[in-house]
Amino acid sequence: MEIIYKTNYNLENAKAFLFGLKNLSTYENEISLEDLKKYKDKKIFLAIDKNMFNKDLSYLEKILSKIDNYNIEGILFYDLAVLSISKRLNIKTPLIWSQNFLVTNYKTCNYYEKENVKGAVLSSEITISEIEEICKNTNFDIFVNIFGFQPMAFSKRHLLTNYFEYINEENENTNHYMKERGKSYRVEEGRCGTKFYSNEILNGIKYINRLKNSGVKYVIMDSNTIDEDTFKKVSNIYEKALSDLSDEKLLKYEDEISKLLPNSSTLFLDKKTIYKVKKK
Amino acid sequence: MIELLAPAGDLEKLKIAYLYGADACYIGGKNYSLRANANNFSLEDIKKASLIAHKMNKKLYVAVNIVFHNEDIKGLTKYLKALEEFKVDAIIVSDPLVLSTLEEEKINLKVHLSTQSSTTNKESVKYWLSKNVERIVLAREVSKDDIKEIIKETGADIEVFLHGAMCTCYSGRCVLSNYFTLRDSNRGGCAQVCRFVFDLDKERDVKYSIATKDLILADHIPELIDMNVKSLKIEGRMRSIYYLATVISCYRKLIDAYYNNSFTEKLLEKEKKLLERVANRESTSQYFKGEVSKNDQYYIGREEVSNQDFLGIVIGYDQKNKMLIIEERNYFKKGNKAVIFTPSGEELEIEFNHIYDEDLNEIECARHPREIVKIKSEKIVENSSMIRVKF
Repeated sequence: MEIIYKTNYNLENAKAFLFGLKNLSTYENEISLEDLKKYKDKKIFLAIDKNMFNKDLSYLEKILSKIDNYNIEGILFYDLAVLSISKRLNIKTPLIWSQNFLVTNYKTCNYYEKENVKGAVLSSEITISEIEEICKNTNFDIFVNIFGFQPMAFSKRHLLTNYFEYINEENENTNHYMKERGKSYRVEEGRCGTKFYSNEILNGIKYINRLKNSGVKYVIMDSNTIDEDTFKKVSNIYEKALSDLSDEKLLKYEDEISKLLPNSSTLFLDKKTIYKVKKK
Repeated sequence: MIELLAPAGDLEKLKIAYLYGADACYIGGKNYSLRANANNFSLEDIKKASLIAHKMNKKLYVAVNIVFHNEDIKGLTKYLKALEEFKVDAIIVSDPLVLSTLEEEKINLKVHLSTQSSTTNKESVKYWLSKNVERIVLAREVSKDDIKEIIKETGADIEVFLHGAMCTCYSGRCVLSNYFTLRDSNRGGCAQVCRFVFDLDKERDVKYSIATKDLILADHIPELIDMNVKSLKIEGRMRSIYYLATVISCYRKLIDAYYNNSFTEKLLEKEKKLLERVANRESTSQYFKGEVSKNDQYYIGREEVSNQDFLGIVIGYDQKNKMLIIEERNYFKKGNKAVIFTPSGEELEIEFNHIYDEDLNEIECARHPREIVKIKSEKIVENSSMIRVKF
C-alpha cells in the first residue's frame, strides 16, 4: 500500500502525488500538463473531476487526446464524458472512477471494471467494514481517503459571491467558514462553483493495517488548509506507520496526530449513516 | 406530444395526478428510492398503481434511484423481478449496478437515468444511450441551449425538470446531510441541510444561506416543446393532493393550449398566478436561461408560507337533496366565495350560502379537517374536484 499526496507542498520523500488538472478539476491544487515535468521521478495521478458541460467538451477531448504522452499513473474522473471520450480515443492512461459520494459498493466497482476502468476512489462516507467488503468482492485497484478535510458538497452556484453581493459587502477574505451550532465548515468558491468541506479532519491511521490487509492499493492524504509544518509531521507519522503496522503503534500514532490536530477523527470509518428515520 | 410527468407519494395522490392530467407518474417503493421517509408504495401498492395507470392509459415509473451500499444489494433482484411482473413502464435509476443486475438476471425493464447522476453534457448522454438507457433526466444545472444541443446531437429521449424545489448542489454530489445529521442523502435520508441558516465567518444581520428558490418553467413551455424534450417533470413526491391537482392542472392547460394554438399571454398569466399561489416559496427559471445569481436564492431564513387555500374535495353528490358532498380541508364559513376546479379543467365560482353537516343540519362553518359537509348545488361536479378560496 502506498500513500498518494494531494498537496502543493514540497515533500521530497513522497513517491506519489495527486493534482487536479488545470481548468478541468474541482481541486485547489491544480497543475497544467506542462508543469508535470517537475515531477518526473514521481507517480502522478490527475483529477479531471469537474461536472462537464457541452462547452467544456472540446477542451476535454483536446487534453485527453494527448494525455498518454505524460506518463500519468491514473486519471481520476467524475463525469462520464471523460470515460466516453477516453473510450472513443482509445486512451491508454488508466482511468480511476472517482465520483466522490457515489463509490459505495463492490458491484458498481465491478460494473466500471467491465468498462475498462482500473480502480476506484471509495467514498469517504462509508465504514471500514464496507471498505473491506468492497475489497473482497472486486479486483479493482482501491484508493481510500485516509487523511485531510473531506469535501461534502459541490454546487455550480457562486454561493460566496452571491451572498456578498446581497449584503453589499466586499469579499475581502479567501478563507470562509460556514458556522452552525458551534461547528465551522470551510466554504471555497472557484471557477466551477462552490465547494463545502467537513469540519473535522479525517484521520484513519488506526485502520491502516486493516486497509492494507484488505488489499487497498493507495491511501490519499490531503493537505488542503493544513499548514505545511503540521502536514509534514503528520505525513512522517503515516510513513512510519506503514513500515510498522502493529495495532499498538497505530493507536500511539493516532494519539500523536490528535495532539497536533485536535479536530481530527475517523469520521465515517466507524460511524454508519442512516436513511430511514421513522418506523414504517 | 410531450409527456407531463408528475410525482405521487401514495395511491390517492397517484389517482389525483392522473385525473388532473398527468400522462405519467413516478413513485418510490419502500426500498431503493430517494425519499426514504415518504409514505412510499409497498409492492402490493405498486401492483395496484400499475393497474390503475394502465387502465387509465397512463404510464408508471418507479424510482430505484438510491446510490447502493453493499448491504442494499441483497434483495434487489427480487424487487426488480416484481416490478417486471407488474409491468411498470420504466424504472428510474442512478447507480449502474441496477443495469448490471437487469442484464445478469435477464430482467426486462426500461431504464430512465435519474437526475441523481447529474448528466450535464452530450458525451455523458451518449455514454448512457450506449448502455441501453431509454431516457435521461438531465441535471437541473443544464441550460436551454445545452438541452437543445444535447437533443440535436444525440437524439436522446430527454426529460427536463419543469417545476418544484431545487437542490443547491449537484444532485448526487452532496452529502451535507451525512455530515450534519448522519442521514445519508444518496440513500433517501436527505435532511435538507441546504435549507439551514448559518453565519459566514461572523454574526451579521443577514444570515448566510445557501437555500434556493424553486423552479418554474411555465413561461418556457413552447420552447421546451419545440426543442423536442420528451418529458416534463414536476418535482415533489411528498406534496399534497391539492398542490398536485393545481400544478398538474395548470401545466396540462398550458401544454394543451400550445398544441391547440391557443397559448396566450392571458392564459399564461392566469396559470402562473395559480402556480405561484400554491407554492410555498418564490420561483425562478433557475439555470434554464444560463447562470444563476443572488436573485435565485434566499438569504433571510426560511421564507416559506403554509397555504390554506385548499378548502375541500368533492367526494360525491347527494341526488335527493341536490347537494355536493365535500370533505373539508381548511376552514370556511357561510358567505365565503370559492372556486371549484375539476379534473377535466372546468372552473366554477361558488358562494357558501348554506353549509350543512352530514345529517343536513345547517352549520355556520366547516372547521374540522376531513369533516364531511354538504352544500347546495344544482350542478353535479366530478368527484375529486377541488375547492379553493377565490382570489
